[in-house]
Amino acid sequence: MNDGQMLGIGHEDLFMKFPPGKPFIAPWSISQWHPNNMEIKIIPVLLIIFDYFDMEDLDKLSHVCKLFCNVATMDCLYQKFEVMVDTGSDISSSSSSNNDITYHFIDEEKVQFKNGKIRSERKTSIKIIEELDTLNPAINTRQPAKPRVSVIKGAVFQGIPEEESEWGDIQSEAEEEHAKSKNIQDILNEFREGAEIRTIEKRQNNRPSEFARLDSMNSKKIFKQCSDRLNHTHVFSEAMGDAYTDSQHINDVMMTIGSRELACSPYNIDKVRMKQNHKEGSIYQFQKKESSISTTTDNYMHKTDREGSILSLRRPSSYASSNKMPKVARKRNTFIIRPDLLNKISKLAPKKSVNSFRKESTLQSIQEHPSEDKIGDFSGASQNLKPKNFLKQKRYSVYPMDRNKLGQFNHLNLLQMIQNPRR
Amino acid sequence: MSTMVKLISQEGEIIEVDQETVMLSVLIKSMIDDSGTEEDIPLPNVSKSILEKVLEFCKHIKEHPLQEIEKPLKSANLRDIIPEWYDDFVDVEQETLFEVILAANYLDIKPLLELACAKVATMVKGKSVLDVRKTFNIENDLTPEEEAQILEENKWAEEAIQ
Repeated sequence: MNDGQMLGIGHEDLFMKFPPGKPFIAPWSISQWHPNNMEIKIIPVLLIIFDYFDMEDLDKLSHVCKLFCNVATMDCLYQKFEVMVDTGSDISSSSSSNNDITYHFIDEEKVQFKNGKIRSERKTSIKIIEELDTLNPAINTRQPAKPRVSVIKGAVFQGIPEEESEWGDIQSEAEEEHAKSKNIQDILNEFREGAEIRTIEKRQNNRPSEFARLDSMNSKKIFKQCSDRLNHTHVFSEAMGDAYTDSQHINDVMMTIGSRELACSPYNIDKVRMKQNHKEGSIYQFQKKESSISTTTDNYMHKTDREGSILSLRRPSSYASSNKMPKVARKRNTFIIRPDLLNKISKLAPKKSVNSFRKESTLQSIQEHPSEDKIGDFSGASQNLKPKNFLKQKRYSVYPMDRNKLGQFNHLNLLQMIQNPRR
Repeated sequence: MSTMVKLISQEGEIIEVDQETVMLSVLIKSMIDDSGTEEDIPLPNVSKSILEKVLEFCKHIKEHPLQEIEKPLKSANLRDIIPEWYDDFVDVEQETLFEVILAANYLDIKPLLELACAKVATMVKGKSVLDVRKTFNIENDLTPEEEAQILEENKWAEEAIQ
């Protein structure tokens, strides 16, 4: 090997290690120059560099070395899969910046009620947020209401005429609901007050006991209320009936990608509605959020099947024109899957729901990494180099610290998905 | 008259610069917001030479805004995409370029970070795998089995492109 050796690069260790004092001129060796800080920045920098490549270049780069393969794979996924973001900007108590992104992890847990019944329940965002807070102390100081990043794998959008839009009603409903909603902290307090013993399996990190209690009478109602309020995830509402199945698919993959590109997504995940439930898959309608990029409100259709794979466009002809594509997507060529590629891509999409790797890898990741020692190492690396008076302040990197950390989790998932696309 | 800000480089040297120029850095802007302009701003991750280069960029971009570089790159020649001055600015040795990337990332100067990363991308674009390895002195740590696996898994992308 050369002076700058790459040691132990695997799926579990994305970051290259370099022996000290050996010259090695490459961006991915930057940890050599700033060994205490920069290794956690390698991946983000590489991602920016790889952003400038097309699919052909990325394919080629995946053969250069393992690290390039991993990063190129991530970038390929960004280009293949639709990505959506809920910035939570309309949460009144939120004072966070665009960088303050919370990632939403889902896993299963057993809930034991007073009557002795035990049932599996999907872990909701309340725990998720807290769990992430535990994992990353930097998040602890933030408000409970935070932007949340979600992704939808294999989503396809197509423009629909404005006059066909039902968004006027949907928006007003959502706004009305938010107006009626209580302060998030009040809801959380309500949640805590009506608590009952809640047995959580497969958990290793310590959590406040008050959060381990749930009222048997009000648990479901309050729990869901909290969840919805915190996340604005109307799309996940049980009231949507069959859509819940597909929305779980949305949930399943939302933790797979974390990227700054997500923040550029033009869509609001909370402005979503199932338009049509079909045996081959439900159709969702998303609303493009207002942003500095585009102030117009456009509607897009998203179709996904029940197995989580990509289906062909419902009306591909209307999407064929690049003018119909969202501005950001057109510019970045990242968020939209071209209709003419769909049939081929769909062959490669996982035939099975990503539930399996969600359960395995996400939970495993969370369990494997909750150690505060590791967290300390992670955050401390950058804190050591921060200027004075900075420890208590915001994050100043272009890429949020937790994003880097979560990138490890996400990357494991991505790699598993890539390695076993037909599981 | 603009307010002057004192930046302390890695070597401990003080560089005085007007506030408006350094406000391009989100890091420095946040520090000024927190502590005001009277307090010196330590930048322990940035050497004096790189800091001066960064400041040169900040001064220039004030007068000559740089449009966002289109992705993916249309050309391997950066000069085809951006104004000449910016191309010259990043036409430096690899080590300096990567120091600039690090500084831009640390100081949170997005235009500079993207410019420098685009320059690295042009150094890779259009080159063969071997050339890329040679250019950046990268050891191939992929086993033949892994390479075969990558080839297999990339087939779908190739099919999609065709």
